Amino acid sequence: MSAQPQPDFDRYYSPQPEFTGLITHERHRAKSTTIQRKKVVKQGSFPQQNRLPQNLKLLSAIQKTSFGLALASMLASTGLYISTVQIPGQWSQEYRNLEDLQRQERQLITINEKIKYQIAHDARRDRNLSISQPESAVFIAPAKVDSKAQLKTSSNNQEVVKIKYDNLGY
Amino acid sequence: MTKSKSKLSRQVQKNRATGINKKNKSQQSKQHLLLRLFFIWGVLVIGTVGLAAKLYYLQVVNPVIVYEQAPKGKTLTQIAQDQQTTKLSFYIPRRQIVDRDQNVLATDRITYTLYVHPHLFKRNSEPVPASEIAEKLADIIGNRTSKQLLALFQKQEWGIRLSGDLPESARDKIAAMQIDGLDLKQNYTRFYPHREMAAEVTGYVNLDSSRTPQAGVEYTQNKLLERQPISWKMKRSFSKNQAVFHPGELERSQKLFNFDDLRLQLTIDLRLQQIARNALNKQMKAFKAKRGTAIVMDVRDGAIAALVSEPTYDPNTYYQYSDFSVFKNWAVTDLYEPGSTFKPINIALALDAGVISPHDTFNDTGEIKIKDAVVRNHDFEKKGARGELSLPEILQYSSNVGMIKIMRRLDPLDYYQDLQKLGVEDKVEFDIPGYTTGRLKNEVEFTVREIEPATTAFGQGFSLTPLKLIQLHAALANKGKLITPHVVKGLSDYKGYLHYSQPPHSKQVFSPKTATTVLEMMETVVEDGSGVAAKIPGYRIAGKTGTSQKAITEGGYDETAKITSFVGIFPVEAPRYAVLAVVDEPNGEHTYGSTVAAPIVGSIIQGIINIEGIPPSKSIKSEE
Repeated sequence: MSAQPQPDFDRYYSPQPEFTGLITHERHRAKSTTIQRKKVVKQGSFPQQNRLPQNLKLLSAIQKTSFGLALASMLASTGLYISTVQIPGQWSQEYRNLEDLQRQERQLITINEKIKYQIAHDARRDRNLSISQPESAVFIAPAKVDSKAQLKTSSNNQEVVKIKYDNLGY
Repeated sequence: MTKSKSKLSRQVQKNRATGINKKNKSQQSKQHLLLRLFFIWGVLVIGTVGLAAKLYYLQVVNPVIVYEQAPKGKTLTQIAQDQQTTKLSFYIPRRQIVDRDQNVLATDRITYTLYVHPHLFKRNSEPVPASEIAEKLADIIGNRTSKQLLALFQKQEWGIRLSGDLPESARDKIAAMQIDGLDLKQNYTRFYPHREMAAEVTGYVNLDSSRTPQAGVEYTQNKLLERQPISWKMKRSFSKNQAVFHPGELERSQKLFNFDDLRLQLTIDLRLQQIARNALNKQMKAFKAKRGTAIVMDVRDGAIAALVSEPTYDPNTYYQYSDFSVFKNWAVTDLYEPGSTFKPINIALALDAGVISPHDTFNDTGEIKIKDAVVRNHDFEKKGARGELSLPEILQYSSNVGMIKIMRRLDPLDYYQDLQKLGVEDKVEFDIPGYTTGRLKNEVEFTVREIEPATTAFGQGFSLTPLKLIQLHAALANKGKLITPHVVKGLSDYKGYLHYSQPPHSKQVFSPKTATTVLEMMETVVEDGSGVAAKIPGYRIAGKTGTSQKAITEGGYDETAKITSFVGIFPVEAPRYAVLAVVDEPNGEHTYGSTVAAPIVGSIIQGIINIEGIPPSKSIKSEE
């Protein structure tokens, strides 16, 4: 309901009966029933009438699209606003994580290397430790893999490895 | 009628009057209304204009604001910017130095320097007594009592430097105190967790803020190690007591974040370095030697697996050493006369020149007279003249006379030029600073005086660094190619993948056949000759001992001061490592290369076998 004065439709359009028959028949009936007090409006006397509905349609289309756009832009702007709050928060959280990880890395490296140094230092002091003799090392020749063995259906695939040096110290 | 008329007229007049009065009154009230409306409108308009003017004044004109908590003399925009922006400096430390197996040899730590301003001791704008702060700080700092701190606070009002080396845990504690006048400044401090173990290789970095490197790899590779600090000026706000940074509002001039975690990888093996150091220290202690060095080099590409020089220092506390000679790595910087360890190289030169063949024999007369000088073997008193010796035997017995006779066959000028080709007087581009080029006598003297080629034949009369000597022996070991020794492998990431490394280059100085022949001759030295102390059953090791007298500045040689050395190449069938041990001025009886230096090389080679798992070349006899 707008505040503008509404056009007086009753003066121009009478309440039409239902459309049942041909147009000519309608016109006859329309003419005969409505001839009393209403003015009969001919189609040609309002030249703007042809264009108005189109203009109105265009305007209403524009209004609908602009309303849709306004809604979309409002949603987008709320989204952006929320992101301006969230994204720096997340960035800062990740940066704090980075700093924590770097600090832990520094601590771990320090502890790790200090332990290594301590072990080496104590090993040097210890009189009972010495470099192991090469005679006590065990060298094993790599096992020869026989390609024909794969065709065997037996499940035992273990090879016996020959130890090169039998005279171990134990 | 008139009465009524007059009454009527009076009534009318009255009516008229009241109408006029009413009109006047309504007019007056209307005017009043208008006036009041105007008045209120005027007040509102003046208020708005006043506000707009103040707004303009504050925003555009930007005056200096004076209120209680504001910093003195700053405009509003300045105060706003101070509050809202901060400089965020990222953790960009100096690159780590790691060894071959990614053990960290040098890394950066964060330490804090604490500055105290007693006139600002406030918490939430309320003053806090200095005694309370002194007590809490005494707990955190640890090396001062609260009374001492209180005395300090009363002396100065601002700028007291309390402690320079606070660890990271102290920062949380001090921040938790929430006192205004405590200022923490972040520094990077270089930390060497293995202390003196690899100090001669890594060098050290100054403790002050300039952090200039002073020795070792830190000095030569400074361009690779040093990184430019990156700090962003960022907008910052606070939410729930934590800082929130706004990275989206950075200026265009900020550099993009280019962070990588590459480390400088060395070819040094820390375990082998420890083994070498232990072996060297043991012998130096036993013989009370002045100094010593041990070098292990991979002959195939020149990668140095261990470089030990004693005496050494702890780079964490470099300022405690008053004798600055510990900071140089004398294996690289100091010259010495190699003595008998140079004999195999001379034989290789002679073989390449074609003046001798591998099966020649020479008559060892025990002593030989050259012009006015007499040169003797080192064991002439005990063994005398040995007679006909083959080339391997000359090496085994380390016969000076035999060597002189060999090198006599070579023209002195050719000999001199061959020595130059070896690069004795050339500079070696090495990753540790201070390399000294070797010294030969000048060409004229060498070619004219007969004694010069003779002394050079048994390794005296010229000098070179231990590094140069091992480079020449490595050339014998890898079929005659002289390769550049290096300590730096390149920049590697955490997975060990190398990102940047320098390409090696080599120069052929011996023929491959000669190199192999001489190597086999050197093997007999370890099997039967003076290098028996370095023998390891089951493994083929080639070596040569060296005992030379030290030259004194006045000319001539010191009778008592010796420098003993031993060079070993192992395994002979496919040479991989060359090991050199030099011990300077061992004291006591029977101090020769065979007794002092050869056991060091033996221990080092045992260490190599254990670390690398090198299988023996020959089967071990069951009696041993």
